[in-house]
Amino acid sequence: MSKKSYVRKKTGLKEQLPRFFLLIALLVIVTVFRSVQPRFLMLNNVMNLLALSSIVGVLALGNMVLMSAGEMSFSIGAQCTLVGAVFGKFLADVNSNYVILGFLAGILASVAVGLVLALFTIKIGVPTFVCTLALATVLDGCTQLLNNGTTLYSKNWPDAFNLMQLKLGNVIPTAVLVFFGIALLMHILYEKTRFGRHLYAVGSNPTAANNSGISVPKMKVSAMVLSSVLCGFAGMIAASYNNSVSLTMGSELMLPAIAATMLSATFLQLGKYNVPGTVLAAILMIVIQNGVISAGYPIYVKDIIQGILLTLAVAIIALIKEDGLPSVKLDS
Amino acid sequence: MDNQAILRFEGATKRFGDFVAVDHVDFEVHNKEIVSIIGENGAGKSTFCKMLTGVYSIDDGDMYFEGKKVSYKNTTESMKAGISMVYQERNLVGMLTGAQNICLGHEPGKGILSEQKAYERAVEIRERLHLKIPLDVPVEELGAGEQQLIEIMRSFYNNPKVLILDEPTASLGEGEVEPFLKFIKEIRNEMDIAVIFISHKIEELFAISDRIVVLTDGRNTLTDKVENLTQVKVITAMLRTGKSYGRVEVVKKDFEQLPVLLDVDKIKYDGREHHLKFQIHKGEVVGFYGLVGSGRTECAESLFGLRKSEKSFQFNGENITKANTRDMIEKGLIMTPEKRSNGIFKSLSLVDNICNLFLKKKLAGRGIGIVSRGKSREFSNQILKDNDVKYYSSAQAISGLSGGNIQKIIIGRSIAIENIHVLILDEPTNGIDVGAKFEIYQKIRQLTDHKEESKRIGILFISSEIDELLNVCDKIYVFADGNIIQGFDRQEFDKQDILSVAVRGKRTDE
Repeated sequence: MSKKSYVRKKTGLKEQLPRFFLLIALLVIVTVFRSVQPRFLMLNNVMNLLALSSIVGVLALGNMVLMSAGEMSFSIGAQCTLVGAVFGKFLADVNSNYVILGFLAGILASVAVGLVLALFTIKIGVPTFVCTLALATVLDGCTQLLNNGTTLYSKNWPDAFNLMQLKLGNVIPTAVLVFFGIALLMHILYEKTRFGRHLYAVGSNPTAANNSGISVPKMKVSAMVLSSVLCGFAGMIAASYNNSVSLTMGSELMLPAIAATMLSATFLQLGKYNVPGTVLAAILMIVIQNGVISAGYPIYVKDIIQGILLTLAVAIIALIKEDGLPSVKLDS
Repeated sequence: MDNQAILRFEGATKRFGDFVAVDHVDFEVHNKEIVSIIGENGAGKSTFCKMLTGVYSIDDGDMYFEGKKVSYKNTTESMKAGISMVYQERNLVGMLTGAQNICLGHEPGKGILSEQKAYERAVEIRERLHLKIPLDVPVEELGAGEQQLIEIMRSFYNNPKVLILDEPTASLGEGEVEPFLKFIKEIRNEMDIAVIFISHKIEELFAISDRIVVLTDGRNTLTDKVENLTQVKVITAMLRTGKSYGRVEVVKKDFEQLPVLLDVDKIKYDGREHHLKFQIHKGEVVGFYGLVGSGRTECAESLFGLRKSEKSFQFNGENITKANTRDMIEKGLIMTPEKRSNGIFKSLSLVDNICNLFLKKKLAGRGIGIVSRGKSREFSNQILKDNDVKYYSSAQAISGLSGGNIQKIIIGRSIAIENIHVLILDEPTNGIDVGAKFEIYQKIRQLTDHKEESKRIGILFISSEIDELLNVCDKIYVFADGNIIQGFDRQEFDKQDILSVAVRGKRTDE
């Protein structure tokens, strides 16, 4: 057996090309918008784009944690808004100058949401997809309660509340730095630590994980909590960057975030959700939205383009990866 | 072999409810020894090994490992102690590399993983086993044989003293089996290790084993060194079954004179051509025998249109090349699935379960397709009565019935199809009790030996229990590796012959 040469599949150019689909799509779309609106690539606008990407990007990373563990959630948007509201409401009521307290309250709330979700799905056994649909409604209701049914804004907020708007060296918004910082940490977590390795294993082959002594339920609970915390982060970044918490803040971002996660699996290593891909795809989502607006097209054009991209991404995966992805299993 | 056994099990017993899967088996394996376990499907081979690794708890019996009495709660414990098992199903994470898979669950490095150390550890194992497999590419890019070896390398992570291989050659291609067996022998020669090898391919066993253990219905019917054994001795031991069935009556017919309902030769599916030369006549019960994975279900599925295939066969005088299941049902061929749960809608009532096959023509009338409740109930009650189903209300959910009664409903509604010609039954008696089995045999013969000749149909009966096929069938075809390799007429039925053909995978006269 040792003398045999090993047959490797998928090495031709045709197979390699899809790996860069995401990058190519980003370049093509940027070029198109640049030609329609020359100011599109000016530094100011680019920074603005990146800052907006940070919200959907962190949310997409939260979603990625769940999807790579083999679960699919429809409540990430609601989780994001709720934690943003907790953050805002806390600082409005407590009237404290320490933003960190609001931040801690937000983290606490997101951990609690993650644990509740884990209780119902992992412990009791409700399918995550159904449970999160219900959870999203409950959380949205809670947000309305906190916000008194309208967009939350308070004069009591300390100055540091809009920390995310501040620009480092008058150029880079804090939100962008936070986004890249979180992304870097997540990348290390996924590629360099036991936890990340086991998350991938649990999502793509639970039996194998189990036979290797990895506790599948424990990993899934951790994934839910971590995911919830990241969604909460996204909510707090949004609250700080927008200087308000609107009721639909998170739910508007849910689909782009899920799309960004899916698109990441087409980047570099096919069929594996990854952090660089998610970051790139989140930026792409915002580029489309911003480009459509600045070129003067009606806003719904962005939905069409984003939708087409997501469909294409999933189609590429279906064509090349026979058994689908964790949480998006395909039957041939 | 006079040294002490490294692993010894006295009176191993495992029950699932009333069913005794492993029945007081005595077993031992020594260092530097390959012991093979052979038996028919469901003889208890895998169950026994899963008792060794702690997947299943031990109901009765004492297990000794290196002289000490042990019992493991899970695979992590047994692995730590030095018992490693390579499972039948693939257990790799496709997108991770070979090295990452080998170290999965015990990755080196604190906090940040050390890929370098993991790779070195994997290379070390690779060198110890004298293999040459790339460890730095995702395993999904490797072939089946290489993946199998990666799994074996993984089981060597903890320097096992006992290595259990569950049907390791099942997923290997033709050219890969022999080098693999050679490799296992080399491991045995060079290392301090005992190997337990599970298979149902008899020639492999004789090629590799030092000792052979035969399990039949969970009991150990033979244990001996390979030099004292012959293939015939082993097969005879496999046949020593305690099951007894009531014999059904079979009406003798001259099939040469009867119309051919199904005439098949070659069909292409799953990427290759399969040799499937067989016929079913009116009033004939044809059995498909073979071991798990021999391709019986796949053949039936491609006839019924469930499996994508390039086919051309005669059904009831018509040449069929393209047909989906709906067409085939309309033409008069229907198949009941291997898993009973795939044949029913669990939460629906008996009436709904029976009528779903007949909504189009019989029950919905012409008009706009509204199903008549009255007609449905009447029709269902008739079928329930005709098939002696025991139930309390036709409105009860079908999941409340026993397996035998559910099977009666599935068969009953299938044969109620207008112009039914051929019925395919895939493992219809799986997991139902002896009494209910006998009723099914009788039903099968009733349908083919009907007093009015015009009402007789042809039946294709797929089973892994050779005794029931011998009891019921007019003809048995034996499958191996996706092809029909031999057919037996009822007058030449011989259990030993048929089983030999199935385990050898080729004709007896070759």
